[in-house]
Amino acid sequence: MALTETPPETVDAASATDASPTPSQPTGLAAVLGSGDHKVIGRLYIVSALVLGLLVVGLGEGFALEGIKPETYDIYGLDSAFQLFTLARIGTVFLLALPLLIGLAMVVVPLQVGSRAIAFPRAAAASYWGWLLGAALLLGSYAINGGPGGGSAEGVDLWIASMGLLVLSVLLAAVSIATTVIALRPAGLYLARVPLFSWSMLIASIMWLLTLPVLFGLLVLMYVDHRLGDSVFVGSPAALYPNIQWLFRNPQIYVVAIPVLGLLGDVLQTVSGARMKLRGVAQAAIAAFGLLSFGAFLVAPSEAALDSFLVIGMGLLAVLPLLALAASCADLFRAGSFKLRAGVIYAVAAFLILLLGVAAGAVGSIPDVLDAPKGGALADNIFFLGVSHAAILAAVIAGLGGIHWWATKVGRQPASEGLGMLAPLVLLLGAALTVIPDLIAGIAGDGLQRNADFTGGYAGGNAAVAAGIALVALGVVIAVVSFLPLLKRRDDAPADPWGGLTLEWLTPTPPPLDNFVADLPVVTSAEPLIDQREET
Amino acid sequence: MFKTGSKFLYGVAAFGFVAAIVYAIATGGQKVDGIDTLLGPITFGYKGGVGDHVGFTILVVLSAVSFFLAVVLSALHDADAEAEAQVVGLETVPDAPTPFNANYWPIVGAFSAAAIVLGLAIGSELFVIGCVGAAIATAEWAISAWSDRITGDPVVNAGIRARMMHPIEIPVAAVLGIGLFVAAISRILLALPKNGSYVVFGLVPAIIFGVGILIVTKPKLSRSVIAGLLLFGGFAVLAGGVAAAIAGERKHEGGHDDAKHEAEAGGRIAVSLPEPGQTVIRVAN
Repeated sequence: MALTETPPETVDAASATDASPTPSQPTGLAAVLGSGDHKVIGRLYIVSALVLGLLVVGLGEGFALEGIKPETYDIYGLDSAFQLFTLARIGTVFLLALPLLIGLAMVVVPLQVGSRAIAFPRAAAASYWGWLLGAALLLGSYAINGGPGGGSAEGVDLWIASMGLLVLSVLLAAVSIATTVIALRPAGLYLARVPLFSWSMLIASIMWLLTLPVLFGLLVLMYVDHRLGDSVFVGSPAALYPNIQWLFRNPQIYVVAIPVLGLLGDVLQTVSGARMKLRGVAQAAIAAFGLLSFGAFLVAPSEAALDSFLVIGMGLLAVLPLLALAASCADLFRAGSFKLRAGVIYAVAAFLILLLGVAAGAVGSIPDVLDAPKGGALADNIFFLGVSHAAILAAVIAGLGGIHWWATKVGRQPASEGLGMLAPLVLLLGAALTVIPDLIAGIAGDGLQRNADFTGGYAGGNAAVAAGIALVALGVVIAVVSFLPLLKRRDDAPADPWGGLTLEWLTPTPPPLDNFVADLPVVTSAEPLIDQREET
Repeated sequence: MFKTGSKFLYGVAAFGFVAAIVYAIATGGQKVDGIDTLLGPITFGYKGGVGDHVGFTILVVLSAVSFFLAVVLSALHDADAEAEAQVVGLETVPDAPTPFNANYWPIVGAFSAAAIVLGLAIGSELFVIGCVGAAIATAEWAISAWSDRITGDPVVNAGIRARMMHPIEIPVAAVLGIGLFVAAISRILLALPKNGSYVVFGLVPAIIFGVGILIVTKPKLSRSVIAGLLLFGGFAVLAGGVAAAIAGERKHEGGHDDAKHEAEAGGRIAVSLPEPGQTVIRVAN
């Protein structure tokens, strides 16, 4: 029997050969394509969401303009109006609001919880690429006459399958974000001490994980049914859309807006410079709002289901967490100071629009307040479109506000403060003009079926909505212009422009690959940077 | 034991269960008369009605899943770093590793998922390609996840991974790449007009030769430029191939010859049927 031994010098030589050539790190496009850095992935999400978002806002503007003359088709055709309506509604959630918030969370959450990486970084990267390709295929499905109400069988199949890819990608991102908050905190940073934005993202991610699989299951059923002869979702492909409408009405639509509450808490606490005495109340309020936004059980609801105690109770109770959070934040200013910053205007604007939507949702859930529109069910009342728009617009304003507030972490220097103050004011005005006319028309018992062009509402109100959406688009453009400095390197860019209280402000601008240059301090409270200042 | 995260999930579980009962009663259309009304929802429909089945089921599942997650979080102390450190006998838990090396498998996985989605709508070939891509991406991703954690040095990790996987990856990638390239180019050549196919036949090798010379003479060419060139070229050829395959082959001159060739090769010939008024003479041997 032969014994083969490798001489020691050969092993050494082999090891030396393998270890010595240090592979150079890819840069530019190659680095972006293969990156597992949460900041790079987050930035990709943000940029893509803003680009696709403007397209979706443009579609919405078209519908509002269409509604000014409800009896005629002025912009969209008879064949495409319903399809484009569904694209506008799906797009605002899946192509704009959710990816914008996910992108922001991908950048900020690991920094806030003191982690050097996001949990499952490659899954986070896959979630972005999956979402991007899913979005492209979704748009492609409409381009080939697909989507609900589409005339092409392949296009309808592609719409269902691409929706599935979008949902899976969002779920993957939610898993990464939630796991980061739960499992990657440093010693001493208990969940009770986690910054409110991260806490709100944890709650939002959990709620997405609990509800979006229901949508995925529904999409699987739709696909199988559509391929095998439409025996469940009987009728035309347009019959598919009512089955996913639960996503866009309250309470489910509130899951998109949960991070609004976290942004408000974090921004107001930072400008006050004080410890939050009612932190427990604020955390409980965010958690309760998350809980009350669970709406997956309203898949294809009956009239009896919408009038059930549970739906009414959830609708009415949803206002309370918002008021509790507002009280917790107001209490901060008894001990601290107040400085007006663009971030504050963004956060307050987003909160006010959300409060408007949730209060309207509470009113709408009271039996007999709203009438079913002529020729439709109660769920078709345009009032719920207003509530849905409020939640989505609040999420978008919060997303833009978060980018402004954490500009030195998202980009290379702070955003323009002057434009940053103007943008949320324009967005607030635009959002109010978009939401309120639909709420008024809904109280009058109006529905989407009333008009031939599927716009709903009244001509005068729709003119206001058109102006509102145009203002929202203008607000987004102003915000994007205010973000342009983020692209430019500045050597003296401050790491902490606001006098922050939480760990993310310890990172330099822009943050390096492993986030923190020095070792983190031992966390002994929810405001570790106040502790650090008190020690020195 | 019961910390913030687990408390939230216990709360969701309780909410889901109570909500399921309230919802079952509210949508059941039954009179509220004592324990009988509750019996159906509490026994999950075994001893009575539960109203709207879909909503009831989703709320019960919400409750069960949340309870399971809450128990897991309680057991792990909400993944508290200090508790974990005690379990593994360390003072602190090591930081999560930063993903140092570029990893292209997530994007390959995403493209595979997109191919599956397209295949579900358009055709089974794309679905199969997507499934194969997803399987390869999953295996490679798993290997990368393992190799990222072998040692604390990312450079050594990359070396170990390369030594293990390159003997498999490079030949397979070469075969797949060349196969796809040849298939796409052949579709393009078959679809283009005769003169166009001559141009493409000359142009594509010239471009490949030019890019090859560029890479060889400029060894310091950035990876991004190379990646961009390869991506652009790959997409152009594949998109051209797919478009050409959809458009179909050009009409060949002398279709009769094709049938003849086929007959010579032992294939089946399409025999034209006689016109209605045509006389057919049968000759018996």
